[in-house]
Amino acid sequence: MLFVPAKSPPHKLNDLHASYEDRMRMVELACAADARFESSRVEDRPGRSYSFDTVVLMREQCREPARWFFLIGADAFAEIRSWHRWAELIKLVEFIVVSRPRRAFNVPEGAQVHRLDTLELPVSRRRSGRAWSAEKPRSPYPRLCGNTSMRRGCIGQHSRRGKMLLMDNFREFEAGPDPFGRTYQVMFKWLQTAISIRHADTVDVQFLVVDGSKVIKRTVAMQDLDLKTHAKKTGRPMDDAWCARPCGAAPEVHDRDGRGLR
Amino acid sequence: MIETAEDFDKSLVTLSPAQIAGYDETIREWETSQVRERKAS
Repeated sequence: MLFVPAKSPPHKLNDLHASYEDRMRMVELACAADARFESSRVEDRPGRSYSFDTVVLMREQCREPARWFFLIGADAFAEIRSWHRWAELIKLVEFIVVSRPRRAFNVPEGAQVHRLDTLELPVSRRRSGRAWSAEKPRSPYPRLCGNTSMRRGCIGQHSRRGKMLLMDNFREFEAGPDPFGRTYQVMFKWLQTAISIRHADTVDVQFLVVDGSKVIKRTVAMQDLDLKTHAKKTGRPMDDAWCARPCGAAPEVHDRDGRGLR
Repeated sequence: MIETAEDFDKSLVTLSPAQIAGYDETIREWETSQVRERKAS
């Protein structure tokens, strides 16, 4: 499966913030989760990035006869009649349309559509909003840091409490071992970027540290001024996904008993 | 879902600028190694 970031999206010329290279890098990282996924720079070309042109180009480059599938969210597919040469595009590919919450769409005549209703994701998610239960959660996100892969996918970092493994998926990862050799499941709970009653001008991230049936909350904050200074110095975009990761790397998230909390 | 201020006091940790920089450097190294590993495979 090829993931193709649009270099110059025709529908988002005015409100696109992340650069093509930044988006490309995010896609490369996401694709590292599965050997069947591949990032593609096929739209790294001059002019606007029209899907029709891309499909034509890729079909020309493919020497073998093949069925072509175009994976797309329902929100985008609902607007397909506004796409460049859409009537021709729907004859070139079969669409796999991923359902979105409360988003209906009509299928243009002649289009071949396969509905994918088992992967309903919000367009943009800032909070997990999911209560923890003893049952293993069904995460819609790639699980990168399972028991067998964590030592391959994580890098080691030594702290006062021993070796800590940094997560490669901030939403759900395994932490530890602690000085007693125990490891814990950690889940991203929410991220808050707002002025709140007690700690204004911070980004707060909460994790649930799971120890058997016991769940401990850990909230880690970063001050806005520190984030802005760091972003200016390093060029790092201070987006939600990034903010959650250094917070998850804090030793306090990994310490079951809260030792070291200030 | 949002806790009271007292609950926050029990668990809130604020990262220092040095911690933010240190953890980010670790994350950056990991990202680079992942991209390199992916391209090599």
